[in-house]
Amino acid sequence: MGELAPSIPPLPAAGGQGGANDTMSVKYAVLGLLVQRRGYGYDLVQRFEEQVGPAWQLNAGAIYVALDKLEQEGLVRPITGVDGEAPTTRRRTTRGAPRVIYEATVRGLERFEDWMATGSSRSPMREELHLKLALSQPRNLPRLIELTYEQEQACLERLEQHLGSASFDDLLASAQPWSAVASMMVRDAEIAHLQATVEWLRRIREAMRWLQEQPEALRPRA
Amino acid sequence: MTLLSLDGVTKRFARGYRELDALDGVVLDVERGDFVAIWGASRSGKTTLLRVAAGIEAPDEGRVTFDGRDLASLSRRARARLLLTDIGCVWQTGRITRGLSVLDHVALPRFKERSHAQARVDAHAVLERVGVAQSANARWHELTDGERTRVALAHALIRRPRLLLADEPTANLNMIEREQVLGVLRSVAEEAGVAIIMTAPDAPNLLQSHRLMSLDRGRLIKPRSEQRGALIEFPRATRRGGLGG
Repeated sequence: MGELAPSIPPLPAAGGQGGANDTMSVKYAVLGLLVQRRGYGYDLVQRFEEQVGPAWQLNAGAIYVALDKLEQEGLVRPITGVDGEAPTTRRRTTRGAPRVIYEATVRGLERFEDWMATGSSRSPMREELHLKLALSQPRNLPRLIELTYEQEQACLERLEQHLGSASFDDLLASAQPWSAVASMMVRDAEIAHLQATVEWLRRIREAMRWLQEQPEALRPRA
Repeated sequence: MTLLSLDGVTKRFARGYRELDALDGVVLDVERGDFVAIWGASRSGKTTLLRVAAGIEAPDEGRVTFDGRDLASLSRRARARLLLTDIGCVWQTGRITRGLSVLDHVALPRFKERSHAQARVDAHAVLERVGVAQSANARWHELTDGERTRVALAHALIRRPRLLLADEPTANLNMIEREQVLGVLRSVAEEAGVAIIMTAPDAPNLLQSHRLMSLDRGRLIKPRSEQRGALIEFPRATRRGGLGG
């Protein structure tokens, strides 16, 4: 972000889930949504959910944080009232309060294009189960095997959210707009991830069962 | 009303000197119009589950009930009749009768009730619906694996079963063909009220169903919404309602 970054300290990672990287990604996503068309906070939350999907598990507050940062950096600006008066302060919760509508500035548009052109970072894989596995003892095997069943169940619950949704090859076949196809591809990433996780769970379950049946394989080396 | 019910079904096989639980206390209720997809790796017990549900194999423990009748209480003849009329099956090992064309093979179950000409018209319609009408005059050895699966599906559907058991009906299909077959299954469930249990090897195959669960070493894993007393209504989107095939 270099010279354009404001001098505010980076946000602490919220609850271990997602770090500075996620915050940065959401910032650019909000900018992208405003490049598509103008919008206000809650509208952006909804459009984010719609286009990115449930897998991101967006915290709605992150949108408002992103809007603040973008405004400070001059990448978005509130739209002035029709009569030319100064923009009202943003109201987040009160129903019926005047909403502040934002639009991307020219610099915002350029910055968004820059972001599109740069490489994409990958989030680290941080699962509690991985830690439990790494720090477990052979005596924990029965519980770990049970845990793999619980995790598989959790994966099925996530997959349920995608029941009945169009698949992207289906969309391609019926010549849908790019935005619909792109959103489906993002959803497909979660489906692929869930599938890989379930396959991994089945693999380690099989391995743990095998080890359970051959206790000599688990004896500490002399 | 529950059409098919598996209650604590356990099935064991001897493999060498040890016993293997092919099914381990499976509990599953399937209603009319339900489209259930079961996800499992190979040797997870998927095929055994379908064979037990069809009454082809008897469980070692537990009960299988079809339309309120305990399958174990039926004679062999009655169970065989069920397979001809009410329960349609699609197995991966299916073959068509030697020497018959695809069209005649699919029309065969209808020859008894209808004129041959009408049975062929029906068969053609079903083949069209599953997307293999172009192979109507082909012989078995001329079909690709994907076409064979779809012919087997047409053969099962032409009897208008109340329960359809399909063992990996999307195996060997490409993505577009897979969506087409899943769309047919979904519309058969939603429009004709057929109850379907389908097995699938991976996640994308599950998503056109109404309910999904997974099977591992004979143990059925269901999402929490499947637990008794769960309040979640399953999405019965009619997005594909009009899809004829």
